[in-house]
Amino acid sequence: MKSGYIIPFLGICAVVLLSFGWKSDPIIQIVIPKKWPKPVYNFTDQPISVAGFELGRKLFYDPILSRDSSISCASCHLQYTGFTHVDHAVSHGIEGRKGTRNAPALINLAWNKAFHWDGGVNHIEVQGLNPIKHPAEMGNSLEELIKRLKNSDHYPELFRKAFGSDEINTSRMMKALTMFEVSLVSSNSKYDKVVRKEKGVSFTEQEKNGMKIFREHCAACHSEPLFTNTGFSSNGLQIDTSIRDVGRFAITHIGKDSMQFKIPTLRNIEFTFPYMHDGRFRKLKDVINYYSDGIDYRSPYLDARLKKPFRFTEYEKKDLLSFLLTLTDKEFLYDKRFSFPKN
Amino acid sequence: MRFIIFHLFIFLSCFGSAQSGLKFKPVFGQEAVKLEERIELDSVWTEISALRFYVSELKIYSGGSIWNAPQKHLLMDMEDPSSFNIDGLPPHADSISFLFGIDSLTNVSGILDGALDPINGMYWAWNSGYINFKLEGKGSRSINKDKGFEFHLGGYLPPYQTVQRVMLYPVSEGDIIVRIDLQTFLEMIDWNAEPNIMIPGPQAYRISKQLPSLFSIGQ
Repeated sequence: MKSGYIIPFLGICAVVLLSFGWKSDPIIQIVIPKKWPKPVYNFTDQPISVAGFELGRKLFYDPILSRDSSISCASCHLQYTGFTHVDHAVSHGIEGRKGTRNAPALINLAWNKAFHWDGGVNHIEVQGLNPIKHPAEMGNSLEELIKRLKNSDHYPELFRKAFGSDEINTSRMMKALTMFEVSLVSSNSKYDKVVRKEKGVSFTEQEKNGMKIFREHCAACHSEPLFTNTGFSSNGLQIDTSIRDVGRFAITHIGKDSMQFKIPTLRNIEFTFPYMHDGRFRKLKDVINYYSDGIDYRSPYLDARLKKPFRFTEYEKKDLLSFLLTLTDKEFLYDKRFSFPKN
Repeated sequence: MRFIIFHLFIFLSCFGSAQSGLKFKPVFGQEAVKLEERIELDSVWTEISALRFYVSELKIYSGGSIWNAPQKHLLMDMEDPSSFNIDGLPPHADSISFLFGIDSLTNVSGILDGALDPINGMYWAWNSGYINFKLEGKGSRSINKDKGFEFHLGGYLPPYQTVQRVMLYPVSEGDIIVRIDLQTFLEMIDWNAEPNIMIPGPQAYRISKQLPSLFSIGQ
C-alpha cells in the first residue's frame, strides 16, 4: 500500500526538479507562443537565468557603455516605442554625432538570424559590439568598458551572481545582454488575441478587411506571426546620395544584394516611427502611400514582388492602417520586467 | 645519492628529447623582422608596426599518429613574442598542417573567449567575423599621405572565404621554425590601388588565396 504512494511522490519530485532545470539558479522560462516557428536562439542550450537577465537589463540601461558615459542602449531603444528611437530618423551617438540608419525595434529578436539593416551581424551575442565601438554611437573600446565594469562597485557582484564568479570579460558581458534581448517577446497584441480566439476580442470589419489586404500584398515579406520573413529586400527607395548606403551589398559584395535591406517586423509599428532604414517616412500613412503609389518601378533592384503596382483606394489604405494598429502590444511596451531597473 | 642524480639526469634528458617546439618567425626575405625597425631593400623601405594572425587546428603528423595543439585557435601577436612559440610537440614531424585564419563555423558561433575574444582587435563588429591576418606599418610604396598601410584580411561568407590550409614538411629533427615572409606578402599588393584592405570581399579573397606561400620551414 505504502509503495503505491512512493512512486507518484518521486514522480512529483522529479517534475518539480526538472521544472527548475536541476540548477540552483532560477531560470526564466520564455514561452514560445503556440504555432510560432522555432526560435533561432536556443533557449534549451542557453537558458535565461534570472541573474543573467537582470545583469543584461542593467547593462542595457547603463550609460557606462558609452565613451563619455552619456548614452545607453536604451537611449536609441526606448521600451515604450518598441525599443526604437521614436521621432529620430537616424540614431544619435555621443557628442551629438549622427549615424546613417534608423535604430531598429528590438522585438522578438530570438527569431532573428541576422542583425542590422544590412544583416552584417550574424549572431545576437555579437550584435552589441557594433554600437559599443562605433564612433557615431557609443564610441567606446572593449578594453575601456571591461575595465570600467571591473572597477565598478556593483558589477563584479552582478557578474558573480550571473556566472558563478566575478570574472568580467567580453563574452560574459555580451551573453548577459543577449539574455535580456532575447527575452523581449511581443505576442499579446490584439491581432494575437484574435488569432488565439480569446474571449471578447474580435476584429472590426475595417480591421478584417485590412488583414485581407495585408495578406494579399504585404505578407510575403512581412509574414505572420513575426511580421517579417527575416530576409532582405529592395523596396525601390531611391538612394540617399549624401550617404550612399547600398545595404546588404556592402556585406556580401554580391550584385543582386544591392539596395537590399532587412525586412523589419511590423509588430508595434504604430510606435516605431519614423520608418524605413533611414527613417525617411514620418507617418505610417506615408509608408502605405509609398507602397501603393510611390514606388519608382524603374528602380533596377526592385523586389519582383513589388513590381505590380498596388494602387490601393483611400478606403483600402485606411483599412490596412487599422489592421496594422492591431499589432500594438501594450503589455509588451509597458512590461515592467523590461523597463529601467530601479535597483 | 650520486646514483639518484644520475638517474634523474637520464630521466630528464629523455624527457627533454621526447618533445620539441615550434616557433613562428616573421621574416622579410632572409632577414628577421622587428617591430618599428626600418628594412631597406633596393631603395624600397618598410616598417612594420603590427602583425597579428590566427593559426587554427595546428596538427603534427608523425609516423602514424597525429598531434593536435591543445588550443584550437592560436593568436600570434608580434607584440607578444611568446605567442609565436608552441611547446610540447612530438620529437619528429613528417608534416605540419594548420589553418591560416578562422574557419566559417567559428565565425558564426556568437561571442567567444580567450584568443577569440573581440577585445583582441581581431574581430569586425559591423560585419561579424574574424580578421585572419592583420599587418600594419609604413612603406615607401604606399600612396597614402603618411606612407602608412593597413591590411586586415578575413571574411567567411561565400564566395569570398579567406581561411587557408597550410601544409609544411620539415626536413630535420628537433625544433621547427615556421617562417612567415612579409616581403612576399607586400609583393602581392597592388600599391597604386590598395594600400589598405580593411573589409571582406574580392580583394581580401584574392590575396588570401596566396597566403599559404608566405610560410616555409626555416632556420
